[in-house]
Amino acid sequence: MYLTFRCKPIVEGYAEGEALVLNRPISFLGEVDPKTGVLRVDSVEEKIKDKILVFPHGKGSTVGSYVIYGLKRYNNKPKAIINLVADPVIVIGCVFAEIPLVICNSKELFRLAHSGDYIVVDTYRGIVILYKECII
Amino acid sequence: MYLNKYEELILNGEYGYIKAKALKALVKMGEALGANKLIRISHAHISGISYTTIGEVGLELLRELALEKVCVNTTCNPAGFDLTHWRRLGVPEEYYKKQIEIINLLRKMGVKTTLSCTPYLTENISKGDHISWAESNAVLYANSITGAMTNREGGLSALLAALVGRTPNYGLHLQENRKPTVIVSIEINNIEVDEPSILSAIGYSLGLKVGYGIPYIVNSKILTNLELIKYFMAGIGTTSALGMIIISHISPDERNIKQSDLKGLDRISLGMDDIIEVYECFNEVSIDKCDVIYLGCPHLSLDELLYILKFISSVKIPNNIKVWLTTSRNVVNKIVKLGYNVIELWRKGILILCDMCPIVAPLEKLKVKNIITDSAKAAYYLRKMHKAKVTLMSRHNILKLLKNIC
Repeated sequence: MYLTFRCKPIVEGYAEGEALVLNRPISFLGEVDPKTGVLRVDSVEEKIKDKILVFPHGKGSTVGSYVIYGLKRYNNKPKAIINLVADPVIVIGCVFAEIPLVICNSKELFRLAHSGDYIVVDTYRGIVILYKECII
Repeated sequence: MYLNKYEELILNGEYGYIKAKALKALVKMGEALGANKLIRISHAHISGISYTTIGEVGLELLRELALEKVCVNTTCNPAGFDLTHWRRLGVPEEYYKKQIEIINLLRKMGVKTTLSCTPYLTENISKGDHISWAESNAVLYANSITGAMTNREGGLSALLAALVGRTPNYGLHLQENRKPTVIVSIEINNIEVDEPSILSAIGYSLGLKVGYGIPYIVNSKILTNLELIKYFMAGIGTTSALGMIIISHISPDERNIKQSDLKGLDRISLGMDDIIEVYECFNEVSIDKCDVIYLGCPHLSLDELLYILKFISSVKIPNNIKVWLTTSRNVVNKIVKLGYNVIELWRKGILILCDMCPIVAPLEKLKVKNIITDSAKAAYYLRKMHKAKVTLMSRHNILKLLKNIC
């Protein structure tokens, strides 16, 4: 089974893949290493390459946009990013790194999505589709 | 998005492909975020100029962008070392070369290389000015204290805005968006209000509780010291995406709040427990184990530096400890004029450093691992980025400890 959510396209593109979900904000500077593509937040340590990265919004350093651009240059970028609120630091990073970015202001998505779920991001239709493994 | 003739020309490449690329990215960003047009800015402040944070990738990008010049007054954040004392600090020549290339590229672009995170102390910014600033503490200060208007720009978008002198007109550039989204009361009494570490811890905690929006701080007894309020801003900027807060009796935007704007807003409060939690979160280094005592995040003002020096310049700092005091170059010039001998102080273990910030310095190469600081922002990033052991301690206690140690 799947659930569809409306979203606001910020950087266009279509992507589908495995979700990496964090229920807290991320500072790309300090928490993401562009060279290895590893995200370290509290106890989470995951590679973000080719993931659909889901987190509420950015926080902290405004240098984060360079880190996001670095992910592209080191071939470690996620397939897409889904945020709850737009953060200019992440927006400009995604514009430069050509990472599809959407804002989905449905808290439901952030409550239901878990790492490992399959997610489709389609900015052309303005939707996010969440496939729940447990109910497929 | 509406573009005027000049902007159309830029977009069409009449002013070169770099400016076209910059404008295109800003338009794309603006359109996605609901901007109706671009607006002219009077100032830009860029972050992400340290080789530690932007690396080879950032350097390459700057090499390309540096084919063009900025067209507004533009300042920049700290670099990875003090340009005068880099060798004395132990910065490897390889790193020095890279960082200097970045600084030279910025100069070539016409950026004023102020290399400081406190542009609000030196730049001529007024209420109502549209600016494009990166550096989270500076964005918060500009919007909340000065009443200037800027979104929380990334280092990259601020630089692009500087290249074309424009930024998308959305978010905090629009008066109607500069309204509270949550009401905050700070329930802390009987504590030292002139203490940077407490202010930074309150900010850090506030940012954790309110990740985005515009908090309205209604009882601001603790936030009366405008000289030290930057520590509060730096704390907030570390843990949140906030670009603006409204502080009762301080923020210029308070006068635009109508009673109806406050209807139905959530209220939260911050108490002593929240503050203590921040101190407990950063408590790994005791004074006998520390390599560096670090004060100056954000950069120290002249008065702060003079106060600290008055307190410790006669102290014999133990050989295994260095005191790092970071500030802007113009402050260093002033204290030299006042008769302080920076080299003499250096020999005593008191390092007055400008142009730099330890957070973006090659700290591992400088063999700094254990740090005591009075800034929650510094504590957070030094741990995250350099795996340093950190303790957040009040400036008052740090100075007292240093006095008693000898």
